[in-house]
This record gives sequence, C-alpha cells and structure tokens, in this order.
Amino acid sequence: MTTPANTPARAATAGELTKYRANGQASEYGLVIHHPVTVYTARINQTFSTLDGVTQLTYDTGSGTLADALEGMTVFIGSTAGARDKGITVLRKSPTATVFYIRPTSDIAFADNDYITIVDAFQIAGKPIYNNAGVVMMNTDIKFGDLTRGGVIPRLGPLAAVVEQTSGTLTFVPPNPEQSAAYDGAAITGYEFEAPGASSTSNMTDPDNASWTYPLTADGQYRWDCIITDDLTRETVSYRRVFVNPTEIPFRLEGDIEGDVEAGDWKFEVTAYADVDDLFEGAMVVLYRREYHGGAIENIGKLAGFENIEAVGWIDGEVVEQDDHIGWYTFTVYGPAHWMQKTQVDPLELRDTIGEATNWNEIQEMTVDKILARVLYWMTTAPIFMDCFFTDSALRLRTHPAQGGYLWDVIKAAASDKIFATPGCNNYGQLFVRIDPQIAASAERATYPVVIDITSDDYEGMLDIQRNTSDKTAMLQLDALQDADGVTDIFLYSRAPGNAQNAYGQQSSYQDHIVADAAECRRISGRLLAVENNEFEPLTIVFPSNISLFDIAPPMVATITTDGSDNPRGIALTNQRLIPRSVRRRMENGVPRTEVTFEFEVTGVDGVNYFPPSVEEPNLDLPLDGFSGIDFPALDDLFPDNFPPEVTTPCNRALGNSFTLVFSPRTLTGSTSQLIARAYFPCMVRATGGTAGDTKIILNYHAFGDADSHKACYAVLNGTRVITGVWSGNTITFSPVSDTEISGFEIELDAGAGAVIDRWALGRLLETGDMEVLTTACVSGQYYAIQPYKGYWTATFPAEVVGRNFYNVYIKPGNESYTEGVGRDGFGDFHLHLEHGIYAEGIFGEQFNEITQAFELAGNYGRIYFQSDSGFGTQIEFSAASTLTLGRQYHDMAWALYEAQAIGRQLVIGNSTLYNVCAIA
Amino acid sequence: MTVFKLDDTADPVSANWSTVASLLAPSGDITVDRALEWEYQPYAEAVELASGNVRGLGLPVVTWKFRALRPEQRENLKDFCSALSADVYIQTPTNETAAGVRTWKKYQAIMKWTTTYELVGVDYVEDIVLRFAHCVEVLT
Repeated sequence: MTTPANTPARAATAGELTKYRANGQASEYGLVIHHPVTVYTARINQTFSTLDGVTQLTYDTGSGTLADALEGMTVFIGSTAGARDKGITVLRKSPTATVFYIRPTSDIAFADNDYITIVDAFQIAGKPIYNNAGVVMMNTDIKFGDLTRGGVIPRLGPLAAVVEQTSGTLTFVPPNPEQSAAYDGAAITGYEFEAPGASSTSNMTDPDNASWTYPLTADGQYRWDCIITDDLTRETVSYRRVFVNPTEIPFRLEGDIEGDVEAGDWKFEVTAYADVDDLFEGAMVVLYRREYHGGAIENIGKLAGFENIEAVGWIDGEVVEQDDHIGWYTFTVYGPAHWMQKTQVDPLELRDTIGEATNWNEIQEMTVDKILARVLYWMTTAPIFMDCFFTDSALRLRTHPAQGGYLWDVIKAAASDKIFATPGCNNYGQLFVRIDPQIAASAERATYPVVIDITSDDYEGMLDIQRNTSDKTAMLQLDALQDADGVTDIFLYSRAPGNAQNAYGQQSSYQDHIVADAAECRRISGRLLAVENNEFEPLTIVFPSNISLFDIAPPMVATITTDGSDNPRGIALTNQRLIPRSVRRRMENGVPRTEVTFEFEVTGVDGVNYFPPSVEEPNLDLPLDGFSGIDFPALDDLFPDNFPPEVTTPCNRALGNSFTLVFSPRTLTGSTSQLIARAYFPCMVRATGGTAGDTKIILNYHAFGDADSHKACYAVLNGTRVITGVWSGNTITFSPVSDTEISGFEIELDAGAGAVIDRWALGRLLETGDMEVLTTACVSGQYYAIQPYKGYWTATFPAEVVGRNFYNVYIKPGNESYTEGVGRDGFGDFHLHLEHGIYAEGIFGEQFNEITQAFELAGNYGRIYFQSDSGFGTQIEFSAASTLTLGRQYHDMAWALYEAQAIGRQLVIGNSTLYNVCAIA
Repeated sequence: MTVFKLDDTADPVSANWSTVASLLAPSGDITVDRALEWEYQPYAEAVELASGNVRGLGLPVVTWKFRALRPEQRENLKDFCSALSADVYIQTPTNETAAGVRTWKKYQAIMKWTTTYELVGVDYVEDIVLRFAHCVEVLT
C-alpha cells in the first residue's frame, strides 16, 4: 500500500465541502490514556558518594530484555518494585549488563537496592551538555563526530494513531518518512520500519509501500519505529504509537479543544471518571473523534490514517476533587510546545565555518535549520518520538549564541528572531518551524493550501469585521544582516513606509534578522508595517460543522468573498486570504462547532533603503562652539553606509580641524574584484599653502605583498576623481591650487595577485552541482576554488577501511596549467590528488573513538585553488584515485565552486584621521 | 416495519429485535398505540447560517413517552438501560410520510433513562419518558 505523504495540510475536496455543508453534523469523542509497559526492572547495586549529578546507575537482579531499554525511555526509581516514589529520570543511552546511563540527576536520593523500572514512555527532556576540559560533549558524553548515535531529523508522522476496527484486516500504513533529513551534510541511504506486535509486515524497507497489520483485539497498544541510515553509516531511530480499539473511558471534555499560534500548541481539559488510578504523571493522552456528516460517519482529516486524531499531548496539571459522594479528577493535556516551554537546555555558542565543522560549536555554512537540528537532535529527546519540520531557509548566519533556558525560547531565538519563522505544533503533535505566512515571500505563499473558500453557507451568525481606520505604526525600521558569505557581515537597513513617517502611530523596529539582500530587507520592512497596520482586526468565524482541516501549523489559508451591499459601509472582501491563528473545537450534545480566528493576509508596499548615521568620534572641529547636529546627507551610491559629521569650519578662517574618516571595505585584495575602498565625507579640500595647512589623511594600514607600490588615494566629487593624494609613509596629502569641493575619498589597489602569493582564502560560493556539470563562466585570470562538499567514494581497498567513508578525491579543473599535487589521508594512502591547479589543501583528521576502540576519519575534505584561463565548460572533473577500485559520481558526490582569493597583494585599512578641511559654502 | 422495536446492540439484525409491544406484555389494559407517545427530532439543534439557510446539527433525537407502566413493564424496558444510559437499537416512526404512509427508521442510539424522579403510583409508574439521542441510522 502506498504510504501517504507526511504533509498534514490540504484543501478540502469538493466532495468534502458538500459533506461539511450537509445537515446532521455530529461527533463523538474518545480518549486514550497511554499506560506504558515495563520493559526492564532491576535494583541499584551501588552506594553513592554524592547524589549530585548522578549519570549512571550500577544495577543487578535485572529482569526483562535489556535491548528493549531504549534511549529516551522513562526510568522510575522507587523504594518498592515498580514504584516511582523516589523520582523519575530518563535513559540517555543504551545500558550495559551492569550499568544504566541516565540523564544527569541531582533530585533523586538514589540508594543501594532501590528499584529501577524502565517503562516504554518518552517525554520531552533536555540533554545536558558536558564541558570536559574545554571539550564540549553532548548528552553528557557524546563527542563531536560520534557515528554511533544517529544524527538525522526523523519525520515519521504524528505522535500516535488510534484505529477503531473490529472486523476484517487491520492494516496500518505509516506516513512516508522521506521528509526526514540530515543537516550535517550526510545523506539518507535507507529506511527500515519495525512494528513489534504486528501480525504481518510488508515492504518494511520501502518508504513508499511499507505497511503492517495488527490484531483486532481490544485495547492494543503498539509502538513502531523506523531506522534511518545515512551515508556516514549512522542509524537514527524514531518511535511512534498506535492504539487499536481502545477501551472506552468515561470522561467529559471541559471547555474547548484549543490550538493557538501564540501558545504554539494545542490543549484540552478532561474530567475522567475511571482509568486514572494508576496514571503515570506526564502520560501521553490522545483525544480522538468519530464525526458524522449528513448523519453518516466519516472522518475527514489532514493526513490519511490519522483523520480521527483531535489532539494529542501529555498530562500536566491535575485537579483531584475529594468528595465522599462524587470524587472526580480533571487534568489538562498539552502538546509538545507546552513542554518545550518548560524544558531547560544548556547554552551553546554556535559559529559558522566554511570548512567542515570539527566540534559541537561549529556548523558548516550555518543556517537556522542547521541550528535547530543541532539543538533539537543533540540537546533534546524530541526527535526520538516526534516530527520536527524546519524552515527550508538557506540564509546563513555567522554566529548564533544559543542562550540556553527554555527550549521553546531557544527555538524562537534562532527562528523567529532571525528569519521571522514561527514555531508551532499542530494537533498531531508535529512541530513546524516555518516562515510566518505574513512575512513569507509570494512564491512561498503560493504553496499554502487554501483549505476552503468560505461562503455564507459555512458559518453561523454574522461576521463581525473590525476595521482599523488609522495607523498603529507610523514608521518601521528593519535592521538586518545580509545572508552571510562566511567572511563579512553586511548590514542592511530599511524603513517603511519611507523616511517620512505616517501621521499616526508609534515607531517600531526589528533588529538582528537575516535577509537575503537589500531588496528582501525592503520587502520585509514593508510587510511588517502592513502587518502592524493591518486594516482588519483578526476575524473569528464559527463553523457549525466538523471541519477539522484548519490548524495553526503548518501554514495554510482560507479565502472569503463578501458582498459590499450586505453592510451600510459598503466594505467588501474579494477573495481575501485569511490565515488561521487559533482554532477552537467544541462539542455539546453531539453537536460540533469549529471556531477559527483568522488574520487577514497582507502584502504591503516595500520599504526604502535607509543608511543610519555612524559617528565614531565626536566632531573635533575647532574652536568648539558646541557640537553641530548630525546631518542626513543625500544618498550617494558610491559610498558606504556611514555618514560623517558636518564640517562647519569656514574656508576663509585659518582654523585647523580633524575628523575620523571611515573607509569601507577595510580589506582590498588584488586578486579579487574588490579593489576600491571609499570614505564618504563631503567637504572642501583646502588650497595648498594656507595657514591652516594642507588637507591630509593619516592612514593606519598594512600592505601585504607588493601592495605598497600598487596603491593610490584620490579625492572624489560625485564619482569623479578630482585630486590625487601624495602618499608618504602613512600620510596622504592633497594639494589643490584652490579650495576644492569633494564628496569623499577613494583608496585604490591595483589589480593583480602580486608576484608572491602566500595565502589563499575562499570567497563567496558561486555554484554547486553534480559531477562534471559546471555553468558558471570562469573569468580568465580570476582565481577560484573547487571542493567536494558532500558524498564520498567508499573504498574497497585497503581492507581496514572497508565500510568506512571518507573523501578520496581527484580534482582536475581542466585546461589549467599543471602545478603540483598533494594529498594523503589518515591511513597514509594517497587520496587527494591535484592536477591542473595551483594550490591544494586537504584537511584530514584521525580521531580515536573510545567506543569502537578504533581510529576514525573526521573532517576530511579536499580543495584546490586554480586560476581560470579557458572559460567554462565541463572541464571540472572529480574522479577516483587510481590506487583504489572506486567509482565516479558515487554516493551522491557533488562539488562547490567558490571565488577564491590568491592573496599576495593586499591592503588592510585601519583607522584614519582627516585633517584640515573646511565647510562647503 | 411499522412497529416500535427496542433491543440491545448484541444483534444488529432488526428482525430479531424485540417489539415494544412484547416488552409491554402481558398488559391487558395498556395498548401500545395508546400508551406510547413518540416524538422525532431530526437534528439535535438547528442553526441559522449567515446566508439565511438553516442547518440541522447533530443526529436525530427520539422520545418515547409512556403514560403509565406496570412495574413489570417498566422492568422490561429498564433491562436495556440498567444505568442511566446504554447503547441500543430502536425502530421508530419519523415525521416524514411517503404517499401518506408514515416512514419508520432503524437506529443505533443512546437510550437515556430519566435522571429525575419517577411518578410512582400504586399499580403504575406514570409518565415514563425515554430519550434516544445520537441516533445513527442502521440499514440491517
């Protein structure tokens, strides 16, 4: 059977709309409370010198199958068998025959002979980081590069399914797991399902066609899993549950079943009258429904196999009513976001790196998704049992200090505070971190499903449309960093609606976000202003039907059209897109209602570029008759985004003065196209020989290679060089015959790498691709670097590396002049070979794995730098080393082409001071 | 198919369901037609939509009212609802007619016994009201 795509958002079909609009909408609810089975029991067999930070328990008298005790499972510690009166902790890795490894625990008074009970339950918990003499290790003892603990973000489907079927063959078809992904460069190579307790299985290694059957017996509780393998030989396992024909529990819903985007979660409150006496604190609870349309039962849901799931989560907060007549018990069930808002994680400083990461603090070409993967997979238990979907944003950050604290806040700091991505969990308990629909670009918006086009036959009562008639925000400013290239931070600023603010409203600002470029910065600032000045307040619509397709995540919309003649104001909505922000479902006397609060989707008008003043020192104009104000000069595209102070000294007065002068960029490299640094400074250069002295710049700089003899400085007016400075030491003097108006200065370095090249550096990424295909036109004379960035060849020789993965690269940019070849790997074999390049580097590492007691290769890559002299084509070739029996285009090998800097001639500009200029009349 | 029927959910075949008349036997002085007054509400609730149309919400609700039952007759009915509610099968008339003939339907329903006091007389219990909610039509 074909596995359904794991995409729980879709439009209602025409047939489903007919059913939603039929009479006889009714529903029933059922409740499943998970009673986890005990998988292993034992007793503590040790004494404790300290109870602070206990990370492992020596045990004896074990009973059960040790292999059933899985990472992430819940551990009861009790003074009697099966009890949890002393506390609850979590297994952090597979046990040995004598030791259980637990999450570091300080709040349990462990004692010899205490009872240990491992139960089949998973909960969201943080995995503490351990800093061992400066070496950061995850989950107490996982070193960076450990291949034994998985590393893929699994996406297997909702937390749990409930199947009600008492006849025929009960076939369970899992969602397709192929949206699982690794964010550390690995590629998934296989999936294997396991379904303990199944009657039969079919196609268990086929993600498109796997299925299995369960017995029809009542109250079946099953756990299934999928083992995901990747090309680093890692195995990642994630688990989900199926409840078959659950026993009816007498219960009553208290209030609405509510999903809210602010909370990022779903919750519901239940009063139960049975099945709760042995309830495990934090037990998983599933609320499911049977829905009727036109009097006929049919569940319509977002995801095949899970249509009847109303909400799922874990118990938090109980109210026990003590009454000798009618005692009762009420509890609230919250989805994953609630628990993430309570879960503590440790701080982790993250840095972007161009090459392969070598420790837990580094991420190669760091994106928000890679941050989320690092945090969620290695620092929490969440991926063990739930889906985590990310933004798909390729925007790159240079650094990200994950501050620690509540996990939810850490996710928001990486997503919301960087790229306007909003985390939210749907009613299936799947986490989606997606770009907010109000901010997403039009192309992404176009992918959202339109759940229904709402007509007046869909909702009861009237629409209460509240319209804002004046602005709430007068001006909005977005300060952002451009998508990082791994080297330089580029600041971008945009204001909306422009530099003139609206008549009404407050000022609003957003900082530290990442955007693709200046155009995107302008677009987002305009969009943010439109959101804050949304013409319409959120609109609540009550659907008297069983419509369960609306959710708070992932993004989806509805549309609505209203007739202006239906209100005296004549307000009409035409195909208005509405974003669901909260969904409340309720049922009274079997009558369902779905109340959805929508936000009106806005588009807005792009903002404008803004260049904030950047005054590094106060105005040193002498004599000091008070500081002059900061001016906002006219924009000049030739100059960088910083603004000098106003020069007020009249040219006819013999007064000296000095100002800080800021050149940008600070580094000029002859082998690149970045050859001119500019400083914007409108003023008059004094005529030579005046009492005040000639105009001059004292420049701190460092010249590499032959840069000293290939540099020049000019005074510029509106793009035209009007005076050439005379460079002597670190002083550049300007000597015009008369006072000369300028708008700034330029320092230029002659093009050329220089005679001696002693350093190499990557520039911006130009292209990535598969083997032997290159479309970037390599400009003759320019420098480039090429390196494989994913995939590998697997060796069949020598024997000791069979099954291991490492780069084994032969790089040949064709038609280039041969210079040299280098290379080796951790086994001493020749694995990186350069031909037709001018410089090559390979970074290799051998790391002793204490677990496998073997040396493992870590962080290998090869890269060559070359100078193009032959245009472009298919001349780029990666091929196997001849010493091994290897294949080409093997294991998804791909390459990346970068601009390169062959650094010989280079000028690094430091602080500078401008002397003796006067005011423009 | 023109008789009232009531049975538990053990057997979905309507032909095997008990007739209410048989449950009220051996009454010599209370006939079914006179003793059993019925109501049929096609939807639990109705709501007016923004378009002005009215949508029926919920499943049908059926009410059977017995003016007076002897204790033995009450016992026979109560056997199907030992607690305050129980899942049952019923056969009952609806509001609809076809060519002037009353339409009857069969449902699986939740039988709800009265939750208040009952009028207990010397020989009869008076005004027994049975409410059948959540009526899902069955076709067997």
